[in-house]
Amino acid sequence: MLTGTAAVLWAGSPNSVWACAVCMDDEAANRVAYIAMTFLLTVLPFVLVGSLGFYIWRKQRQAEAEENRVKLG
Amino acid sequence: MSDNSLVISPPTEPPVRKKPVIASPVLGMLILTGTEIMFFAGLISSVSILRNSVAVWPPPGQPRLPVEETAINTAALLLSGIFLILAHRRFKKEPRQALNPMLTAVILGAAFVVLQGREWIDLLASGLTLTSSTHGSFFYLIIGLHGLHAVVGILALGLGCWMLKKDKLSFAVFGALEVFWFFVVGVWPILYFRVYF
Repeated sequence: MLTGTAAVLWAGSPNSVWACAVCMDDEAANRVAYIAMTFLLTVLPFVLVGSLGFYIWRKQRQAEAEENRVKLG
Repeated sequence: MSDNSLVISPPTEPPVRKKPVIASPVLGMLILTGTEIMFFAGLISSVSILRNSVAVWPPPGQPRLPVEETAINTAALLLSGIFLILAHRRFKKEPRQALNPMLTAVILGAAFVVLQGREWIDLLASGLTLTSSTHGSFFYLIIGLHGLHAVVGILALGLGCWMLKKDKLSFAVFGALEVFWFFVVGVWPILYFRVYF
């Protein structure tokens, strides 16, 4: 059923659906730029969230070390 | 049969409120900055793909962007970031000592915006407008949005200076202002090399 619906949609879709500016481009530089930017936009959120998480974790460790130092005198 | 014996719990110490590892204003600003980075990354990605899809950039008949003049603006903005680092160091020792470097950072940031404005007037006069080409559209959109962020940052830092003078600026709020301004300063070289060259 799902495959049939997908096939009907694919066969009946207008040409404009396929008019992606870069996906089917023969130009190598354009293709590389498209792939590089897709990679950048995919990886960047993980890098940002990961960096924030690492920063908080490091601060937490520093605070714990300080607390232990105070306890031990 | 019910148990009527009295249960006495051992004395407990009052709960100690721990200091947060990262101040709330700084954390909030870091999250906001993360979204701003993604926003500018989207714009940079668009302009990169567009530039690679055309044979000649900038498009024929469109003026060349003033790379050399903008280098001076860039230096002013980077210098303002350095002065804010200096302000941070002084704030840690004695908050009031941070006022002068902070004010210098504001003045240098304002100089950047004014010089950018002057550059825009020349570009508009030479025919580069928002609708003249995709080059113009991207230039005014990306550089204009950065300019808007710079203006907001300058106003916030100016307010910070006023609060510092009145001894009302906490280190946490100063940290949040720093995060935003470092974002404005840090994203600029990327925009400069991606848009102007």
